[in-house]
Amino acid sequence: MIEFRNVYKTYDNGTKALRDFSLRINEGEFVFIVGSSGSGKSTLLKLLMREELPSSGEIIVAGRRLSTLRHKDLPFYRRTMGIVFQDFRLIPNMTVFDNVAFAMRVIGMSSKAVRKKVPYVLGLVGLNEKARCYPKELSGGEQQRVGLARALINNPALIIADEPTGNVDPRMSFEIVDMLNEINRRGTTVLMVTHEHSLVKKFHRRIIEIQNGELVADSGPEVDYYA
Amino acid sequence: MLSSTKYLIREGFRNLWTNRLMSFASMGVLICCLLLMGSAALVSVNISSAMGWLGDQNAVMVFLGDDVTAELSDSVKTQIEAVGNIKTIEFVSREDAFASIMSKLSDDASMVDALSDTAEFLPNAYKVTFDDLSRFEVTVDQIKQIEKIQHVSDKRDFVKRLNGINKVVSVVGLWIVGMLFVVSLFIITNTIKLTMYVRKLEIGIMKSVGATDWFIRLPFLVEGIIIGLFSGIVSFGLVTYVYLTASSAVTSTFTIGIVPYSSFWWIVLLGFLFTGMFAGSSGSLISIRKYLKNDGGISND
Ligand SMILES: Nc1ncnc2c1ncn2[C@@H]1O[C@H](COP(=O)(O)OP(=O)(O)O)[C@@H](O)[C@H]1O
Ligand SMILES: [Mg+2]
Repeated sequence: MIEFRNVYKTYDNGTKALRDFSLRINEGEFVFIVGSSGSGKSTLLKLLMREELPSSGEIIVAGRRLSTLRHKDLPFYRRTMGIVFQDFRLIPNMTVFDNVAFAMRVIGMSSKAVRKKVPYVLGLVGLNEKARCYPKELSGGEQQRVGLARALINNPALIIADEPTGNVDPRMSFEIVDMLNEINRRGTTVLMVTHEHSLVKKFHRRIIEIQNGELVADSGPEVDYYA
Repeated sequence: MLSSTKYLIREGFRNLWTNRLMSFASMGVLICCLLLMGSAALVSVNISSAMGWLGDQNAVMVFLGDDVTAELSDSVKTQIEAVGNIKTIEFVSREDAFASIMSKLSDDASMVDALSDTAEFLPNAYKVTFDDLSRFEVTVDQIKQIEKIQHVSDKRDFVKRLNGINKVVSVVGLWIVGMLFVVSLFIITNTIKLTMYVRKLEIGIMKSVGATDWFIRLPFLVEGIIIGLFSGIVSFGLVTYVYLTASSAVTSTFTIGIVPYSSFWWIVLLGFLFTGMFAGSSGSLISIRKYLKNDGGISND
């Protein structure tokens, strides 16, 4: 589903964030991406979201060469993925319901669809009672569950999460990853960047390690946790 | 589509309210500029109209030769009318002219005595006014070509000066309106830009979930149009009030002047609404352009 072929990324200021990076991820996989700060993990995700273009090499997602996407194709490409951020990125003056509904409304979904779908997804992340709350009234873990609901709302085939537990206390962190795990079990491919080794150890999933922009370790096919 | 439209309009109003301080600042600036523009335009319209009125007061006298009979004078009239640019043409017989002179001199009895019975020395004439004063010279020259015309009273210097003033007023008026428009666009753009800091987050989220550029733009556009429409209506109200008050004051003091508001209020209204909407929406689109141009802005601001 996702393929990186000899990808190099050098930023305008000369920083070499990725070097000769090659990787294949199949549909339905759950992949942890680990590595120290500044190793290039976020760069990898930005290339996937087509926020940045590689300096050389090729990235192919669901048969699409990202380098051939035009500016006007980007919205439609991005609708195939859900993005979860470390800092939640919730709109402060919107309720939980509206924050999730926002993602549907801005791609032109009808209010009927919004009324049907939002409660369902809020139910999945266990936040139906908090629908009328504002982000500042929620704990970090709850805010991230809103972020997760928003990422899920448009049925993406891929979830990209950049340190989703970075601002969440450890007990809640486990819960968030467990939810991602559950989402993956229903067929969605999940890519999660983290540097919390304790978390990674609890879930027997594929682990990719990056150092200085290079892929240094790949656990290979995942350990089938549910078998 | 209908629910999208409803959403976009609601979102425009929500943005207006969220950034109400900036919205009011934009409206204030736009109203000031519209008022100045409107005043410049109205003053210019009134000066033009006053010029036209002064021009009418300066009819040209076309004096006919002594040998022109009544029948011949009709044909001369037709020829003058054929020149074009003629607004009015009125026959002034030598008797009328004589009576007019006598009445002006009536205070001076000795002059009246001396001049009596000289009516036959005065020529018959046509009193002619023109539609377009800027073509005064050409028209006068063409009339001079007509046979049987003895002389045309020629006030080109005066007319030239009138035309000059008229041109200056229009050009200066246009410049003022144009400059004010640019100034208001600049200020609105910067006012909206100030609110962009807050909205970067929203724009980033919209991009991340795959909103198209137009979907991101439209609430901003709605917002700009609302600011423009509101400013236009307020400016129209203020200008109408001031114009009506001023014109009733002026007309009760002087006999001339002031173009009646009823004849062009709708032009003022449309002008204000259109200019306001144009400034508001251009301001919005200019401020958001930078944020849509790049593909990034999703994971960090
Ligand atoms: N927009 C950018 N411009 C220049 N350098 C950047 C930019 N983004 C990241 N970098 C640099 O690229 C390297 C990798 O960064 P990043 O991918 O964010 O690492 P990680 O997410 O693993 O911490 C770092 O040295 C970082 O400073
Ligand atoms: Mg990072």
